[in-house]
Amino acid sequence: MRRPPRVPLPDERRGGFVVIFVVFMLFAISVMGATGYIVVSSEFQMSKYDAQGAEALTVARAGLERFVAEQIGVVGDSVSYALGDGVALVTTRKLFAADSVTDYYYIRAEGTVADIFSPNTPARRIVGAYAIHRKRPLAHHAAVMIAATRIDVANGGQARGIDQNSSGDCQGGGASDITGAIATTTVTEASGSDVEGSPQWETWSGGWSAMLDSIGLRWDVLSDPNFPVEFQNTLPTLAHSRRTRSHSCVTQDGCSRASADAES
Amino acid sequence: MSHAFLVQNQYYATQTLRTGAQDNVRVATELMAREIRNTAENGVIVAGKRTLTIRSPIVVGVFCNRQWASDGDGDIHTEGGQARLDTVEVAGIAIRTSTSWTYRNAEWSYINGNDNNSARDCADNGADTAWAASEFHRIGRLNLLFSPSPNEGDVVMLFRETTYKIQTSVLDPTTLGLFRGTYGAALIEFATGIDTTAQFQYRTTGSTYSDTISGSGLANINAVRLVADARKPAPTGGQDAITFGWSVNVALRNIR
Repeated sequence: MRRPPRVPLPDERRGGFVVIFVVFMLFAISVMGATGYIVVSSEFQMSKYDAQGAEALTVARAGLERFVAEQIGVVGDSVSYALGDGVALVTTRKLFAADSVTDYYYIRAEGTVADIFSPNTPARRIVGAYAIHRKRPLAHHAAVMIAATRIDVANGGQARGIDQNSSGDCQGGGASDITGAIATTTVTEASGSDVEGSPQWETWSGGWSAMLDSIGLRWDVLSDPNFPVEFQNTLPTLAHSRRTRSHSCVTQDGCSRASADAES
Repeated sequence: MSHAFLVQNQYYATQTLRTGAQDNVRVATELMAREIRNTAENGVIVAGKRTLTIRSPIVVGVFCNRQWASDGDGDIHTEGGQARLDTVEVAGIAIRTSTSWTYRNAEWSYINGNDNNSARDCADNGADTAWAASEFHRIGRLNLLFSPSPNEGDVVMLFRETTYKIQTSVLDPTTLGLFRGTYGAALIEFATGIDTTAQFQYRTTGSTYSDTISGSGLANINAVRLVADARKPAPTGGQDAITFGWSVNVALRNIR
């Protein structure tokens, strides 16, 4: 009967040294790899947050510029614009009424850009500017003013150029009487109607263009499709943009910037 | 096996030193760049190889009320009001004319008007002070600083004056350090381990940078370069010091 082959025993002198060494080296390499990954990941996150901060600042500035450019008429309290990957919230605060047609405002624009992984803590930048709002009220010549040849105030109709309020009722109340009605050739007051004012009525023979000019309406601006607009479909040069940031820049509606940006 | 441990230890020691060297200069230059970028128009006061002093705006405001014509007291609106103002850093006040800023140095305690009626007085002049009464504040003694003293509607700026200096480090005298000091205050070291090659450079025209700009050329500086090479002594068993070359160009925002 043959004896089974003898299974060699481990060399007790080696004691599994190679296995331990390989495991240790694998551990060391893993640690080095993890360290490298963390370093690269941190750099990537910092770069991303930095880019989002820069974008938030751009959004804030763009929102402020857009608000100023689009401003016409009554200045609103707040407005928000979706710009790029962010939102610009623009708010205004009236600071000073220099006179009846000139107000100083502080315009604050807050730009936010949210990260999809941390939507509750978006990148946030705030810019502000001081602006002078120059109102251009239309001249009030009459209660009724038309460029047609005649006004016929029928029975029961009224045209009164008389301020019904006093200065105590509201700001600007108690104004002087103005003309009741103006037409180019004729104003008639039918029986049972009432046309009052100072004077009661007038006839202006200059036609509609003269009338529009007289009330201060910039019809040439509103109707001219070729009215020159700065930087339409083109970006302004950087040098010019910087100049306008500190000097006055009068926009089409008569709103002029007065100070440098305050950034935080 | 012991050799593997030693190599690992050497590796981590070198990496730690390298990270420290990089962080030192990167953080320092980022802080500096943020402040220098906001340098006001004509705001560079000293532009030397190892010293830089600038004026930068803390906040910009508008006069909404002039209290009395003779003593130069008036009320201003600023974003956030005094609560958001680091009054310790206030180095003075500037008035905007149609073409430039007029600067006057004065500490906050000198121009602080300490009046509780600013919002009311500005409201009398048409200001909307709802939910923002604390954003209106009185400042005074402007008749002693400006002639004539400012009017309602004038734009004002409270500014800081900051000095940066590269000199021997207090924390590690074998290297240089970057120091920062506000108006009237001592210099404080906020970055150490900087190599002897560190310096400031300035650009006035084209792409050429100079080490020093004389007084007449200060207004023409449109960019500042900070060369801040970092240096750490060699780790135990290492041969060479750990160095990290670093420089930052900062274009000034309010250049003309």
